[in-house]
Amino acid sequence: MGGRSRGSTYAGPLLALLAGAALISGCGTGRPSSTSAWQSASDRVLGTAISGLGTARIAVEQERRNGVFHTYAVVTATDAIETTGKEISSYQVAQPPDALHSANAAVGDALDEATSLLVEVRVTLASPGLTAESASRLVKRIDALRDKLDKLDKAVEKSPQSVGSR
Amino acid sequence: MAEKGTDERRHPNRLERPWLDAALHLQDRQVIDSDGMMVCNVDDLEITDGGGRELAVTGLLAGPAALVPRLSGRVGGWLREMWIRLGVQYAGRELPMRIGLDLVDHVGSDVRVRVRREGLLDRQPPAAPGVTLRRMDDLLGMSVVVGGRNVGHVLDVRLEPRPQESRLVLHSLIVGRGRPGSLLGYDRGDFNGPWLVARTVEWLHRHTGELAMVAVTSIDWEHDRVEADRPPGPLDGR
Amino acid sequence: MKKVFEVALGILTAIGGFVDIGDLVFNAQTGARFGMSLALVTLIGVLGICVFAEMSGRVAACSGRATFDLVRERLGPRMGVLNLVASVAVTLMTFIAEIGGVALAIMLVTSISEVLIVPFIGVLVWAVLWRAKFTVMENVLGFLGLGLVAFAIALWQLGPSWSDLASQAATFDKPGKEDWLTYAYFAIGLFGAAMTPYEVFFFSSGGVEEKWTDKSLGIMRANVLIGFPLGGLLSLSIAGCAAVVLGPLEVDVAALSQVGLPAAVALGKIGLAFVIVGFVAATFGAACETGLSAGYSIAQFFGWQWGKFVRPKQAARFHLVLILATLLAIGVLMTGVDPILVTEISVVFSAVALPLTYFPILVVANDRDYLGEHANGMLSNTLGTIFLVLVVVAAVAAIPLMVITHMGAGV
Repeated sequence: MGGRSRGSTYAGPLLALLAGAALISGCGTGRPSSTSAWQSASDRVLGTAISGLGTARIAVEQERRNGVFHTYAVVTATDAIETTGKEISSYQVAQPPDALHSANAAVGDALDEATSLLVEVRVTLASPGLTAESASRLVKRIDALRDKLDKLDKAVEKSPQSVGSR
Repeated sequence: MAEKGTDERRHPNRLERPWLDAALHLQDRQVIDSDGMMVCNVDDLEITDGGGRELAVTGLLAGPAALVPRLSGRVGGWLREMWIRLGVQYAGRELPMRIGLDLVDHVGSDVRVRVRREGLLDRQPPAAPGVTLRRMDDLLGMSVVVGGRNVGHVLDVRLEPRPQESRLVLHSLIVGRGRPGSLLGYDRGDFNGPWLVARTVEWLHRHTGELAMVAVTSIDWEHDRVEADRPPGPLDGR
Repeated sequence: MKKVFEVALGILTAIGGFVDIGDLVFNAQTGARFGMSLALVTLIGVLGICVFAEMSGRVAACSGRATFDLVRERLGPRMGVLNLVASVAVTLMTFIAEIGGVALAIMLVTSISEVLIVPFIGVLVWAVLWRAKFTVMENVLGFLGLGLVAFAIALWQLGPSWSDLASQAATFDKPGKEDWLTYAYFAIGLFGAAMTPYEVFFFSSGGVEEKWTDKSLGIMRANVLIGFPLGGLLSLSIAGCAAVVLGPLEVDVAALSQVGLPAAVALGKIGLAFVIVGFVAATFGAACETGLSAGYSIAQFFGWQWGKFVRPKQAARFHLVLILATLLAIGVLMTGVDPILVTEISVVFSAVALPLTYFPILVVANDRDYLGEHANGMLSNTLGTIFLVLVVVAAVAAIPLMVITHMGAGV
């Protein structure tokens, strides 16, 4: 009670410092992660890429049948690139487990492919004159890549060692 | 804003009742002026001690100088130091603002004063000779000792209005375990719900009792101790 | 016609609580990932907020005391200050996010970078808070926000298998690929979003702004019973649309543009136009709601004059808080932070604020000094107690779940 301070102590700041130090030391990027951590990180990033492609697919289809405002479709594709890009870059800075370097490379290649397709979608959407034909070609390519990523995702979960070792 | 037809009938003036509780009915209530404008919160209460009369609340205190010490503990102490350090050049940094009880005419869900708010708050004037000014928050939380045995803390202070003298005389102390304010008003006996909360408060305060001021032999403001010559009696929710 | 406008406060409050920028995305995300399997949580949240908004509205109508008055009066300054810090943190973070949200919504049709328009929107929000009459603000934003009803029409147009959606909603289960912890995180997020503390701050203070008395209890209840269920309906429609259109494509919703896509699929440009107007109005409305709520809670804690029912000159400190809040929001948003992420972080703070807000309301709603004959009855008390327990559970579980599930990304 009373409300008077009984001399200042350094316990509070010291604890905060210790906690901060503990946090920082836990976030080193140099050390390889465990297999399960790599699996869940890969699953997450592949999921984001699949999601970005799905979004792009809807945007292309709606643009073709004139269901969205032109700007809206472009913004949607831009957002998809940004979201996917963010996830990919945070995936790429993590060190994969020693046994999974080739698997990591395979996932990385697939992600690159997804990014470039998303960029292509955005460019196509933003430039005038999307024909029904070019739209359906884009949709087909998106679907094919989604399929591929899906398979890769399943392989990552089942047997990570086999990924990329063809 | 404040004017409502049936207001007086539905929200009785606690000052016209036999008693009211300091922490429950006064502390932390909104102060409203005669035009219905908001003035401040009741951050603490001024207790006049000495002058040959019984202890009584004589004013409402407001402002950081009254509020900050109540956020006690380490943070409160630190805040209080900061508050003073930010204005070392100002005199009376520790003196709160005061509204005399003579200006208060209604205590209900808010505290109403009979004047307008412009220029209302002024620093607490110095005490008259032979009188010491205390704060309610210092009394709340004091340990109560009966014959060398600690029987609990002061959880609230029951006040008896003397409207003619503009004073609220300290009538009894609510003594029990826990913190001031933790009774949440359930000791008053005029409301009793919801069931779970009421039972929990009741159980936590099963040892809480009322100690008449006549039984208090001394109050040690330095060491936060109240001495009494008899243990608290049962709580009388009227 | 006047009667129609009398429920605007409830509608605006609910829109701010259920379909602000964070909720728009969160609802769509939930729908896309979990189908309608979390619909029950939204319904429970609607009931919970109805119970407590009704109580706080009743206290405000009968005594003129808004919610933060009660918080400090019953819990004392220490707990009061803890709640103040947590609530103001949630509210300001949401305020920041909403201003960013308006920018995001405008960007959908103009593609101007949001950082460029944020200062203008900030100033516009502040101008509304400073100048516009409370009722005008309420009516205009509340009714434009109804553009989001397009989601309900879109869902109907999409013609999903209703029995499928209903069985997802009625059974306690999750889609196979998600884990239970993530499911729990989303459930708590939805529940917390439905019961965010600034809704009762705004609703009760709004009641004082509208000069409710005990004769206004009928209007107040109409506000509660129309506004919040409508908010719940909108958020369920958004989730439903996302479940039907985005779910099969495994889209994980992270941007506002994705939220509107189902409306475009179902209704084309007209539907999309309604939805975008709804986005702008809802986020703008939520910005006003949260900005005012921050001012209300700080002013009520310290006992300053607050409100738009007096001239700004007479509530100078309150308006100063609003100016500072706006400047803070613009400053934070100019750093380019993602507004949607900001609202997700605010969940942590609402975990602390929820019980410390709803507990004093429940106690004071029983106090006859405030309410006289209108004190809580059996029904309010029983429901209030149940929801208080739920709120405490949600508050305790929120932070650990957020850490474990990486904010819902998965274990």
